[in-house]
Amino acid sequence: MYHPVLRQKWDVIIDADRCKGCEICVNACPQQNLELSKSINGLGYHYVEFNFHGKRGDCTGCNICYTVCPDYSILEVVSGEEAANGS
Amino acid sequence: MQIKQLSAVFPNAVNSYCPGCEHGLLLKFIAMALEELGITEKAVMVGSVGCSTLAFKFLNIDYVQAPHGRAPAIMTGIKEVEPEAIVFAVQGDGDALSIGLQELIYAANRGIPVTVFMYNNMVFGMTGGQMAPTTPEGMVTMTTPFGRNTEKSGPPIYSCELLSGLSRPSYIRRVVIAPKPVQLKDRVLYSSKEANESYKAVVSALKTQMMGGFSYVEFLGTCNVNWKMSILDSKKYAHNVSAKVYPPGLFRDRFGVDSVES
Amino acid sequence: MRWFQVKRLLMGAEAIAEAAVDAGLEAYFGYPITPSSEIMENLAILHARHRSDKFKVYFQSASEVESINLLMGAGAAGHISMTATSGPGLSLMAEGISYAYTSEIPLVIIDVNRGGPGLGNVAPEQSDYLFVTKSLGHGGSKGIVLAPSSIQEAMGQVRMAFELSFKFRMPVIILTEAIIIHMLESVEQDHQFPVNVETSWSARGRKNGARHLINSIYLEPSEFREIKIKLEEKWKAVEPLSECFMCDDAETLFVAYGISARIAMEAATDLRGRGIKAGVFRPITLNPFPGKMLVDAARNSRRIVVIEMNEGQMVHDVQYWVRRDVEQIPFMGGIYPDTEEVLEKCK
Ligand SMILES: Cc1ncc(C[n+]2csc(CCOP(=O)(O)OP(=O)(O)O)c2C)c(N)n1
Ligand code: SF4
Ligand code: SF4
Ligand code: SF4
Repeated sequence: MYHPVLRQKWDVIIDADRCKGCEICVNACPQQNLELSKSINGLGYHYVEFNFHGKRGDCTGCNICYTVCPDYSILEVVSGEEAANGS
Repeated sequence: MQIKQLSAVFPNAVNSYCPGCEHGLLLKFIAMALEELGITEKAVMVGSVGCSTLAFKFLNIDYVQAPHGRAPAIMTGIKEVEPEAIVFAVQGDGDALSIGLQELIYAANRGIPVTVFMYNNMVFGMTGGQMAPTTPEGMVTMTTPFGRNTEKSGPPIYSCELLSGLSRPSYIRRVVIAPKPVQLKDRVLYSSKEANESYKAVVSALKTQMMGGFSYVEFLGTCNVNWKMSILDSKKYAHNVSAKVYPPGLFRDRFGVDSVES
Repeated sequence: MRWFQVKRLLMGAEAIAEAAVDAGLEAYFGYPITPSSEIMENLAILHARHRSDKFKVYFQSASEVESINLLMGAGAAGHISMTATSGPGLSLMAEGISYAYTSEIPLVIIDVNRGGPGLGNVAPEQSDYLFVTKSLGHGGSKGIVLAPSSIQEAMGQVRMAFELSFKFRMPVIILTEAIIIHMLESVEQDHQFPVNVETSWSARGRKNGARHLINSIYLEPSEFREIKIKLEEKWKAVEPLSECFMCDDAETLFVAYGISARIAMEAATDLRGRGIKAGVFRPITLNPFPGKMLVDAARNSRRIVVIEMNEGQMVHDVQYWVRRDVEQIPFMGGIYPDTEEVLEKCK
């Protein structure tokens, strides 16, 4: 279950099937762009969803969420242009 | 769009760890470091017994399962006959310092070019949270219901300090891998400094091995399940207790890999 | 494919070391213990002299616990590896052997049996029989057990052990006694080509292909059942070996292995001279036990006499197969079997 949305400057590619809802990335994102979903994934956890326009501002592509996720559920932080070119 | 994935991780594989446990973070860092250093194809992981045992279901690299505590000996056996291979193990504190201390000390003392990543959560995680050699004085575990009494069990074992007493190890470092929770006005913010430091330590340790030295990194992590804490509290405990009992630091860096990198 | 053969007078330990290097030994790991240490010492010399290009690794370990794990590492990486030890050391190796069995790691252990249990003594006994054939580690692990009765045979069995350990990917034990290790015998040394082993399964890095998994944990019972069925089928394919010495018309059949078999053969020859039709059945593989061969060899015999240097261990296997009364002449504590005593009991 990937969500390559690619409408923004930055996109966070999440493999929601791996997410265990530990909220580490949620609490690590300086912009608060990440939050847990209402629904649950195959493992039974509320998984993380990305919103470019976070509570504190737009995603800066800082890669922190990728670095801190212990479950390799955040696969990549890509720049929108880069991704658009690659597609 | 092509999504880049680490080639050392099985696509769609989920690691076997509890939510919020840094054991998973360590495996991810290993996969990242193997990729960065271009050594995924010659990597052999030796599995210890503990929560890291099932790492082979997550990491797509050669894997040899060791008996409890014996990973350094198995690594030595592999490295002796296959000097080209990059050989490493993830050992728990019980695995490395209780049942397997002799194997660890001998591999270190011989300076065998292998890498031990030691995950110190101060308890036996896999078996349900019993006292480990690293459990600090007073900590309540399943086998020390009134707190560890070091009068009887002896004080905790400081592995980095212990190995520093040997001349042959080339890289010895202790880092906190648990993200530090910082209390802001309205919320808690996890810092990413610890993760970055830990990743650097993984890379340095593997580099040291490639340069022919024995490397050992102790990661101060959490075990929220057996500490019986929320994920947030466990991170606080790791910083307020673990990191105080076991001061992080670079104990040895013979080849200067850490400085080269920064 | 022998290219040349020489006749030499060799001590058992030296002969075994030479044979191992000739057969392509790649790594030796060991911890000294009497009466096996001479094998290690001889290998140290051969290694220092670069007797063979293949024999790259010689390593004194910190304990037998470490030895077996070093062997497992080298074996898992697909290299021919061996150690020599004695009972107290083998006890420590039981853990690793069990892991090696399920993980299908080839390795070779020479157990020079000494007097036990406990520290016992360093005189020859055969008291590890039950341990090596019935309980080599936990969880029903096992290994092929070979028992040579001469130095010449021991040399051949080292080569055979290397081949078998890789063919079946399991531990192989050569169970011998201090007598074989320490005596001098004239042997023919075959300088054959090293054994060829298949190593595509081994863990040396995935090298742009599929990864190699050497593993003994299967948490899912249904999966583990399949693995155990596979291991059991593999085990059934191991062929038992034995030797018959004047068995055909033997009315008194000695059953003995290793050095005891040689004494039994002497006794049988003597008894024949006195008009008693005696013969010897000698298991060469102790595990798998050559039971059917024994039944066949024992079909004409009236008496079956087990000669062992222990309190009576193989006698249970013999009893199980022949299903009738079995006599035994045990020699314990490190006492050599005495032909006179055997003759006395069998007159
Ligand atoms: C010989 C042996 N004794 C005991 C065990 C049971 N056991 C499995 S894991 C473990 C402790 C693991 O603790 P640690 O090494 O700290 O790793 P963690 O699970 O905390 O990561 C024990 C005692 C075993 N598997 N083998
Ligand atoms: S890249 Fe940085 S800003 Fe963007 S979601 Fe991740 S942590 Fe937040
Ligand atoms: S850190 Fe990873 S596992 Fe935890 S909530 Fe975020 S994406 Fe999910
Ligand atoms: S038991 Fe503890 S150490 Fe093991 S995965 Fe769970 S949280 Fe991590």
